Amino acid sequence: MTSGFPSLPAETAARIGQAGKADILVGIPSFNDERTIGHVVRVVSSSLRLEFPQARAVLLMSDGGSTDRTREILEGTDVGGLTEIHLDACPSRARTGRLGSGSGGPGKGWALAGIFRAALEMKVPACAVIDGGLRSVTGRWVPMLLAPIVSGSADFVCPSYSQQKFDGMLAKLLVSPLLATLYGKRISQPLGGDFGFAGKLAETFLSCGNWEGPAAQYGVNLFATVSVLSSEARPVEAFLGAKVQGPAEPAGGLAGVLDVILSTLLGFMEQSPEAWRGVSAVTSVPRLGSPFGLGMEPDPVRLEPLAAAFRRAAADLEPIWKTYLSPQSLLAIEKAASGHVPSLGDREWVRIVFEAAAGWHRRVLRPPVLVRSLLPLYLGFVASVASDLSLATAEEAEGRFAKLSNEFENEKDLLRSLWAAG
Amino acid sequence: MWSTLEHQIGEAFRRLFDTFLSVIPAVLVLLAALLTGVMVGMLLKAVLMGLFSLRKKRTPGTPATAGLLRAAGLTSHPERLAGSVSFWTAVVVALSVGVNALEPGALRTILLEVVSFLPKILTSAFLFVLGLGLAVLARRSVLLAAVNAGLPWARPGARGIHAVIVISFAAAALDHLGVGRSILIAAFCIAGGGLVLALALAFGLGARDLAKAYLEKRLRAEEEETGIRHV
Repeated sequence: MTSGFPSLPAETAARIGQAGKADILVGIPSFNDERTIGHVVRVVSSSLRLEFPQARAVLLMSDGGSTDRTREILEGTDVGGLTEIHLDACPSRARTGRLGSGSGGPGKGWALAGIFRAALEMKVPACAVIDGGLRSVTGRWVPMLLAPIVSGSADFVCPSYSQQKFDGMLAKLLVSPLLATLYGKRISQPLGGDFGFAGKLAETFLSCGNWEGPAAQYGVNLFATVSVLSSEARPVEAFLGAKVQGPAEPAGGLAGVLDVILSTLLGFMEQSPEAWRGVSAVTSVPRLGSPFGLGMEPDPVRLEPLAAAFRRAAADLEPIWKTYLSPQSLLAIEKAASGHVPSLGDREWVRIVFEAAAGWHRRVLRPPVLVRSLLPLYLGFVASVASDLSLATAEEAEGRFAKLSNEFENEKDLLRSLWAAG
Repeated sequence: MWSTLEHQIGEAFRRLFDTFLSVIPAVLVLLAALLTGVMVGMLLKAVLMGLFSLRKKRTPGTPATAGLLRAAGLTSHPERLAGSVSFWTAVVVALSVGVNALEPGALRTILLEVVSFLPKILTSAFLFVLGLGLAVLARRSVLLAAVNAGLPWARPGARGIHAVIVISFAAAALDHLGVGRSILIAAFCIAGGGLVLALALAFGLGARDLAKAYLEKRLRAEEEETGIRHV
């Protein structure tokens, strides 16, 4: 199961042996996070001391091969007497590009894998991961992610954040509704980089194997979440408050992320069809904490680049789309592209996603080609939704996203039949 | 005189009849070879299909080659195609053996030429189909990359790539058959060299400013901010 990730370095293994038995492990994955890593380590270590004074806690700082000052800062940050372990998780062959074709080299995925490996070796009952690249982490996050695991009331704690209405659109418009449809459990942040987990799940997470490159973190996080949702493990969702991220991604940089996410999700569907085919009822996972809004004006959005990408694709990509989309969907795309702002409806989007999933399963196109051909459709749907919600409040926007999720869930029979036809 | 003529015509017909009679063993040999080829081909096909179905049970899903074949316009399953190829290969090999076993003569020489040409036709057809498949895959990749990068020449560019690959493979197939070899090479060199020179002149001299403006615009567009966070 764990063959995808190499053994821990000898010095880390020795340090783990010295640390002895632990009750709690908090891992901080980092990759070129020199601006934030010191703050994250200080907040997490003080919170651990304050919230779990009786527990034998270990802080694991796992670096995925940073080339900036991250490791230097990690080694110089005082953790106030907590047991700390430093792990250089990126294997040398990944740094030198000897992993073969498709390898992306160093990245946060290695750091996450190192944390899972250490959790497995140490047999720690309760673990949490807090991303080293955060600006907004607070002392509240540590108990929110760990307490349900420590008390034994949950096996996995997914994060939930306060966000502006157009933040995390990939999760809101695609990943969350699709996961709810497949596995019958609604969670809002399947791509969140912060989560708590029971140590017994570490071995399952290690079977992911997709550790390379900066985009690997999305694949690894999603793999962990899907493996929990598709199993008997008990997930809960903890509200952590605001999450401050870096600048928004340019529209053109999304292809790789979408590729990793869809490959992970569809690969899981293909690997374990029995885990999703029979699921019909959908419920929200238990929520901890009281959500609150950001209380600030949303950033202004520019829809023209998204609309232009969609129109360009509608003019040129029909020969590719028709290999996996039905005439009905192609007609919907043509209509949606005729307006100034795309107007792709929820039902049409759901059908497109399901037909793409079935096309992926039938291998009508090479997977990266299919996923990249889906990108402009996603951008068109984002533009449609953002245009509809331009004057909406955060609550109204949430309502719209919930309606989309219901549309996905109600059409599950369509997904089943399209998939079976392959 | 009539009796001489009658005798000679009769002799000619007898020789013709003898020749026909002498061909019968050759036809029988060829039929036997064909029959053996068909039987061996059917056996090979059955073994291959069995192996494919065993592999399918172990690793379900569509094999990667299916995509290439579909792209080349071959809609049948890879296992069926492999079965057909193995069947016809066995038939051709058996025919070659049969022809070699014939008595030396004009018939053997003609048949030998025909049979020796068959493998070349098969290889050329394979080359052409491979080219068609690769061309479609390349066209899709170029089209997608160009559309997602917002390039204005996405469709013509993709068609151009498709045409270049198909022509290259068609030329290779014809070359393998030995059809118009010298003309092909000359035409290819002239067309390829001309195209590169034309592009270099057009883009380097004629449209230098346009190229600069275009690249600058593209680089700016890469950094374009929409205010929407996808992840």
